[in-house]
Amino acid sequence: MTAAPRPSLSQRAEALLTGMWLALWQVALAATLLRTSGATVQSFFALTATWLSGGVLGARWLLARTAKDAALPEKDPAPRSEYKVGTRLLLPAVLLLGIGAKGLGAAAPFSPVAAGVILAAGAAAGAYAGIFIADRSRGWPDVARLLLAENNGFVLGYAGAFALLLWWAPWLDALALGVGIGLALSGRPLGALRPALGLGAAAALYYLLRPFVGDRGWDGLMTATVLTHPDWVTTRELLFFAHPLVIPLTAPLFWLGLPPLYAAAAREALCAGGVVALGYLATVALSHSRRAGILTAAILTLAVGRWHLATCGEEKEAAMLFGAGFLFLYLDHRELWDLQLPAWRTRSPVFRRTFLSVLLALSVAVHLVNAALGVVIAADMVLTRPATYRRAALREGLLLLGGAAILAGPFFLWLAVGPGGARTAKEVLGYFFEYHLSGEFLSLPWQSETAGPAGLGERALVVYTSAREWLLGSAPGAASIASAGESILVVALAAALLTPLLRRGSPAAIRLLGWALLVLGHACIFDSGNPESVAPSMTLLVILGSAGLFRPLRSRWRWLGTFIAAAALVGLAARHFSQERAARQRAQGVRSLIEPAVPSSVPLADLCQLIDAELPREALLLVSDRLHASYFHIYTRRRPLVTDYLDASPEVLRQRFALTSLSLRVYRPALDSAAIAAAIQAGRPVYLLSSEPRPDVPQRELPWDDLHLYALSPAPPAAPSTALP
Amino acid sequence: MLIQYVAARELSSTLFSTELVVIGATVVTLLGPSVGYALSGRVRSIGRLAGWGAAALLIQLALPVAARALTGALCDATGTSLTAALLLGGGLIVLCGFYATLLPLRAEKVALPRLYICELLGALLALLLIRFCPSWQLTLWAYYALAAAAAHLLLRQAALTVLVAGLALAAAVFYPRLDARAARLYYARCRGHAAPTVLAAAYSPYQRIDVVQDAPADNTAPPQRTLYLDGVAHFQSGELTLFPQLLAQLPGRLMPTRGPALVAGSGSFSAAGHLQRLGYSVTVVELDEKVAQLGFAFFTDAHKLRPGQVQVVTDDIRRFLSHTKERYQLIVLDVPAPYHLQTALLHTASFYRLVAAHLLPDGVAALSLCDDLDGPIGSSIAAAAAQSFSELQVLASEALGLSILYASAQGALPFSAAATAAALAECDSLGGQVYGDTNTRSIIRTAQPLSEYDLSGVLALSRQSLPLPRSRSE
Repeated sequence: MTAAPRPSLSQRAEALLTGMWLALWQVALAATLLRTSGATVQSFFALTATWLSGGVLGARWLLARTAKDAALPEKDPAPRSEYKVGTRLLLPAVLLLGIGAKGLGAAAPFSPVAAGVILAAGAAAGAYAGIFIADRSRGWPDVARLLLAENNGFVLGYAGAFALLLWWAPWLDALALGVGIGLALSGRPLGALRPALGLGAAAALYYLLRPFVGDRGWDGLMTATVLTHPDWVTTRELLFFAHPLVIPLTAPLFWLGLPPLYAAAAREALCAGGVVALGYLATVALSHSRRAGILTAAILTLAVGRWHLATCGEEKEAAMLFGAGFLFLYLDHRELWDLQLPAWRTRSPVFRRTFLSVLLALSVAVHLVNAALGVVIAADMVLTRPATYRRAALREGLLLLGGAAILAGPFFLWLAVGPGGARTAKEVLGYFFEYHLSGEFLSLPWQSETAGPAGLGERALVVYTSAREWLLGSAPGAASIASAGESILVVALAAALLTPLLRRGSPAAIRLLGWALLVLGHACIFDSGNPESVAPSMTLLVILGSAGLFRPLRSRWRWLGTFIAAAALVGLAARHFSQERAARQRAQGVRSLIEPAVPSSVPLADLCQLIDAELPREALLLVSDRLHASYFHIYTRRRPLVTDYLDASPEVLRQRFALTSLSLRVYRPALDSAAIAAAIQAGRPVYLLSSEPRPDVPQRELPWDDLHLYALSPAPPAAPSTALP
Repeated sequence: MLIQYVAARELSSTLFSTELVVIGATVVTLLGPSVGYALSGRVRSIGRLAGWGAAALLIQLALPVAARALTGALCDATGTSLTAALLLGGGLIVLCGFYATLLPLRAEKVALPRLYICELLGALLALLLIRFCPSWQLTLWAYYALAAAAAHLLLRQAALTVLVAGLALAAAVFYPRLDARAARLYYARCRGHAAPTVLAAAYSPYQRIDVVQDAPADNTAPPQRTLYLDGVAHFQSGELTLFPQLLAQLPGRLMPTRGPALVAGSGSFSAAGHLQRLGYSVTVVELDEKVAQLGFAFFTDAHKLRPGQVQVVTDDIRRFLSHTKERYQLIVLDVPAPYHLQTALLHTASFYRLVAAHLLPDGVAALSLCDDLDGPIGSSIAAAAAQSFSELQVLASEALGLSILYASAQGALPFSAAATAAALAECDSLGGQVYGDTNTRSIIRTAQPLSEYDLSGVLALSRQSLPLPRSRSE
């Protein structure tokens, strides 16, 4: 007697995860329907009925398909698909319908169309369930085991879904979507993409779950402010000139239910995961070594400054995902390397060109920094050797640039002429170079205090320090500018590491280096002291460095590459986690004061909410730092006044304080100092939140950033509760 | 589908209906199939299968009455029973597990996809039956008939089919009488009523509604009546009458002008009655038409209304407000505590913003915090209100044991805290406290507001009602 055959581990895992996903998806759809269509019983019955009907149709479709395949002659059987049934089109369609339903429900609640899309998503998911059971049962030795595994997954998913729904609902949507994407990907041939996606997902998950604890920057705060108060801004600010599509890209995450500041961080975390996946693919393509790819993924994930910037919602990872996505695919399309992407090289050149044109247009629309890619393509056209190849490069480059210009050109022109109000070519240029012209960020090295070569050297050190900060973060007490010796040594080592790769490796390497140097060059004149300025260059240098370390070595030297990589990773991980812990500890003061039920990663947000609750409603609040005002805008109904901006006209605010149109909308004070003085005279309470010492003013010390709350005008004593006997 | 539906409804209306109980009941009905699939390979002998089937059949026939009777017989001081919950859960696993074995057993002979399609079609049919059946009694007739049909299809023995059909017929015929007895036992033992009479028991698509009357204490006072929604008291003539007074009558009296008023949730119509008598033009929005019918019919002493004196709209209040352009002088949110997701959404900041948008410039919203202001639920609800309204005032009544919040959409409230305190003194002999805006906001400054995306308050409230041993502090 032989034992009954057992289903494979992957079969069991697929059944369990499918059951789990179906439950997560069903509860997520039901919750969306409840939120956006009301609690009527008709909604519940309609969703259940469409789900079941979908199941019947799905299973029926599979039966019909099986019968059709069986009717084919044996010598000419149906071609065997590499995709698992239902995962190629139906499952992605289910996921897209669900995302659409969620977004439509948030944008137009209680509309029949939104409810209809939710029901369609339910029907499609039911169809997938029907197809899954009907199809997979043929491959299982015993249908009871399939049903058991699927049902166990459903029970687990159902219990988990409700736990998430009650605890923190956005995680339910994210988990349902994540498991669905995982199932869709597992059902298709992925090749080299599988480890890349795994590493990218791990990086994104880490960034989502362990964000930097501390203050947020202008970009993250502004995105969150616009999402919270769309009525404060116009299309001009929504499609902000420097990164027009960043706020629209964040909006769906906000509609999913994430708080606005977290939505900006989640966008960056997801894009950072995508960049890690791309980095892995690029490194493996350059070095033919998986170890090198893993090293790139690990360094990018652990780079302290990158983690800090991304989890604070600064927009460089979004820019990099689109930009690198374009360039890497372009280089593959030009056959300068092989990323080993399934179903890319097999596509027709016309399809690839069209896709790349769209991607390039999108990249620039996401962030203007990606316009540098045009220079990279132009250089590729000009510098390709020998001349016979150059002609092909020229043709591809012109087609791509032309296609992208046709797609993006009208959009940018409309942006400048329509919402931007530009009327001449100079005004159009001025619109897109608002940052450069404002004088806040642009500074030429030869215009600095130290003129001549010394000035250039000093600027190079500033840029090097920013690059170091991107990788290692900034420890309190560290020198503000790195030493010349250290920077020369590091640059020399990098050159030694990269030179063999550039000379003997793939021609793609030199193009990547070209892009990195282009962005570095820009960083020398624009916001040099900010690690954000060098972020794209550093990502590319990490890819090149890892590839250089593991490029085909003689076997006797391979241990050295592994040792250096391991040592670098251990050092970086130690640095990363010590800084992460230090940031968390700094927030202890605020947490012990407020004792929030769920500690926030933004202590200042908690503090501002506390201040708002404690101040009288009618109190005026002044702040010395404009970013502090943003926390009140996002988390409270209060609009503090920025002290520096009082009495300044919009022109002065633009010229002297370099306020952009978006900042003007958000920070321009509603009152002047005379009105504030009158309010004080009238006995209205006025407070100032500032870290500048004011010893003579009644004040309260706050446990964050040396902040004090000063009472400029005494508040009336709070009315005690009216007690009754 | 039919068994899952009946089981989920009976369990959730018996074991103090909260979201956790509903989830638990559903998980148990889903666990049953797992047990069935796991054991289907081991119970192939006719004897074992017949034993399991007989047990499942008895549970199926007894379930509509047994849930309430068992809980009534076994309940403890908390008004619920862990033993009854476990017994019912076990019974459901046996019942649902048995039906789940049938698909894999039959699928050995016939291809699974066809049987799976049949199963789904059966579920669809049951869904249509549940939705369009005019009464719960008829749904139960179908439920009992299912047992006889299953016995016939499985056994193909006329004698056994007749026996099971006879049992099912008896269960259906005697159901009203047995259910009434079970309900009396349940309300006497679990809810502390003295010799109760169930005046009306109805199943709407949303819940079980019971109107329970106590035996008259003496000849002077009318007997006390209570409106139960899924076994949870919603209105009680007597001590709970203070609730509609503080929620609706007190702010209604203090308002300088009388205009249109909106009451969300009809209950006993007491709140609507108070406002109608004060001269407001009242619209009542109630999700469950049956609650409105029974509330109006059985609580005439409480609301003192004649038909037509208030306008009653059957709709979800969130949907109603999002579609109407009307604005109101006073909006009273007489909605259940956030025991369920559906009701929790009526205590969130986004809903309060919708309410605020429908207030006239000097209008007021009144809502219950379902707790004290500094309690975990009360502070969460108040924090949500603080995000959406301009000025807040909280009234903490000693006699009621709950806090009521009044709020304005723009500017100040049209009555002062002192005026509210004076009005409270008139109707609450035990007194209480009135907190102004600053004090209220200060008390709730660290509270996490209930929101569509953070409904942990539901979890906290649900947990409090579970039949679990309590620590001393609780």
